[in-house]
Amino acid sequence: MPATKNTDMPFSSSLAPRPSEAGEPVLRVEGLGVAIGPAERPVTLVEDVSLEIAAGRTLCVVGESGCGKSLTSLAIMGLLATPPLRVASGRVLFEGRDLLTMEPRERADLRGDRMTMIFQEPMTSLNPAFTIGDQIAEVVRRHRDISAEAARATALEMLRRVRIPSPEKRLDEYPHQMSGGMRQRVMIAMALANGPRLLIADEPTTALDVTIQAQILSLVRNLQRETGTALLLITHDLGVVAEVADEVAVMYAGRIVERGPVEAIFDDPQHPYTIGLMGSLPSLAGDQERLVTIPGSVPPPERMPRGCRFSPRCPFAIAGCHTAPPPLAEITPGHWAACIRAPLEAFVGAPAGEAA
Amino acid sequence: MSIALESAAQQEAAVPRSRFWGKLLRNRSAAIGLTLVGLFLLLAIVGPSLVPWDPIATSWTTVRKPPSAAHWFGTDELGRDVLARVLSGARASLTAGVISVSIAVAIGGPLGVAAGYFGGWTDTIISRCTEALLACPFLILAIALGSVLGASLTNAMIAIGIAAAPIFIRLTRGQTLSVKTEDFVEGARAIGLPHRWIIARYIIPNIFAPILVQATLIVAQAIIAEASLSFLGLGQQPPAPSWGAMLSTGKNFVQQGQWWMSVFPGVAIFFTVLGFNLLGDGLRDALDPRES
Repeated sequence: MPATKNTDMPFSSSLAPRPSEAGEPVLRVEGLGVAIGPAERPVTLVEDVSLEIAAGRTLCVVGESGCGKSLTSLAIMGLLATPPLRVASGRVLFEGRDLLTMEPRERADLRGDRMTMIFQEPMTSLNPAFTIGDQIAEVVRRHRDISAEAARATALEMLRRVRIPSPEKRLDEYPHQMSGGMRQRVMIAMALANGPRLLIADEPTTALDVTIQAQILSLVRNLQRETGTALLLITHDLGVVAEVADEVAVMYAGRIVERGPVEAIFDDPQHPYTIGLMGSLPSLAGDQERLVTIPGSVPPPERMPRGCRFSPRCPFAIAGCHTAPPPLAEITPGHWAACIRAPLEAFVGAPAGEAA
Repeated sequence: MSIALESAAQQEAAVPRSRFWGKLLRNRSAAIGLTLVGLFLLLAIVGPSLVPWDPIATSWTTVRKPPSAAHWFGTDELGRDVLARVLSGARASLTAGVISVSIAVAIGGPLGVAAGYFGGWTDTIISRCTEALLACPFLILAIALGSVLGASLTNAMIAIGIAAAPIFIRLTRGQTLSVKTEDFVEGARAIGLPHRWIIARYIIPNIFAPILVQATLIVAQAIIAEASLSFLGLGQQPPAPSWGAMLSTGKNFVQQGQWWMSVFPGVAIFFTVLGFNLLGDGLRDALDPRES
C-alpha cells in the first residue's frame, strides 16, 4: 500500500507518520554482523545481513530457531544485551540515518515512536502492576507532549482500532485479566499508538492458538495497510509468510541465504536450504507420503564451516562450496540467492529432499 | 461516558484489592497478627490517656507494689505505674520498629535496585560491602553502631536502620535481577523509556510485595533490637519509658518475687513481635499469586 494512505488515519495529524522521502526505504540494513565473546576471539552469530523495507511493505525473515532472526531484529532496535552481545559490523539506516552511530538518547527517542516492536510472548510482555490503559498512554506520553486525558483518549482509540470489545471497560483492566490474544492486541495497540514508520514483529503469533493467530495476523495487516507502516516480520512459520509477506529473506546459521519477492521464493526457490524448507511444508493437496526433511542440524556458531554454511547438509554441494562463502547473487531481478550452484535447474532436475 | 468509565474503573480496581484483603483475613495467623498489631498501635496512640497515672511521676508511697485495683500492673522501684509505663513504652517501641525499618528500606532499597539493575561495577561494590556487613550478626552490629553514635532513642533507631539495611539490599537486588529479565522490561526499553522511568514504573511496583513482607518481619526484629539497646542503656534514656529499659531494671527485682516490673513489658514485647511476625507471614501468603 502506498504511504499516502496515512491521511486516512483517525488520529490527529500530529500522530500521523511523516511520509518518507520518495524511493528511500524506511529501513536499510547493510552488512550487519552480531558477535559475542571477547574482541580478540569473537564468535559471529549474525554475519553480513542486508535487508531493505519500503513504506507499507512487509518483509518476512524466516529460518529455523537459532538462525539469528531475533538477534537481527534486536540489533536493529538497539536492544541487544550488550555485553555480551554486540554489533560487530555494518550499518542500520532508518529513514536514511545510521542508527548505530546515533547517541543512545536519540535512539531511545525513536524507539516506541518511529520504530516499534512486538514480542513473541504476550503473556509476559505487559507490566502486571499497571492497567493496560496506563501502559498505552505511557507510550504516547513518552514521545508526545500531551495531557494525561489526551493520552488516555488515544489509548481508548487504539484499543478500538485493535478491535478489543468494550474498550472503555478494558482500558482499566490489568494484564492478568486478559487472554493471550487480547494481550497481543494490546501490544499491537502500544506498538502502533504513535504511528511508527517501522514495526518489527518477532514471532507475534507463535504463543497464540491457531484461530487467534489468524485474527492477529489479519489485524496487523489491516492496520499496516491503513497506516503505511513498514513491517519486518520474524517468523518460522511459512504459512504466515505466504499470507502476509511482500518480500522474504531466508536466514540460515546467521546469514541471509536467499532474498526476494514472496512469489519468487515460493514458486522458484533457488537456495537448496529454501528448497528444503518448502519441501518440509505439509500440504493438504499434495500426495506426498512423508514430509521432506533436511538431514543434519545447524552447526554451532564456533564451528561454522569456512565456505557455504549449508554445505555440510546440502545434497548439491560441490568442492567449491566448501572453500569460500558464496556471495548473494541476483538470479532474476530482485531475487537474490547465496549459492554458487544457483539456478539449480541448470545442474539437476531433482528437488533437494529426494537426494537425501 | 466519563461517568461510566469511572464507575467501571472503580469496579475493576476493587477486584484485586478486595481479593488481597479477603485472602489476608481468611489466613488465621495473619488475622491474629493484624489484630495484635492494630491493638498495640491503638494502645500506643490512645493508651496513655486511658490511665490516670503519669508514666514518669515518681511516688515514695507506692514503691514496688504488686498489681492491685489502683495499679493493675503494679508499680516499679520509683513508685511509677507499670501499666502507664508499658502503654507509653509501646509508643517508643513501635516508633523505633517502624522508623528504623523505614531507614533500612530507604538505604537498602535504592542501593539494591541500583546493584541489580545496573550490574557491573556498581553491583560488585554494593554487593561486597553488603556481604561484609552481613558477616556481622544483626543485633551485634546494631549495638556496635548504637554505642558509636551515642545513647539516645534516635541514635538507636539510626543504628538499627543501618544494621538492617543489608537485608534489604540483598532482597531488592535479587528481586530486581529477576524482574529485570521479564519481557515487559525489554518491552519498556523497546518503547524508548529511560532507565529511571523503567525503575520507577516497571521494577519497583513489581518488587514491592516481597519488600513489604520483609519489612513487616524486620519490624519485629527491630523492636527486639530497640528493647535490647534500651536494656543495655543505649536506647531510650530514663526517665522516658521503654520496654527494654523496664526489663533492664525489672530484672534486678525478679529474684525478690517482684515479677510484675519485668513480666508486663516482656509480655508486651512478646505479643508485639508475635503480631508483626504473624502479619508478615500472612502478607507473604496473601501477596503470593501462586496461593489460591
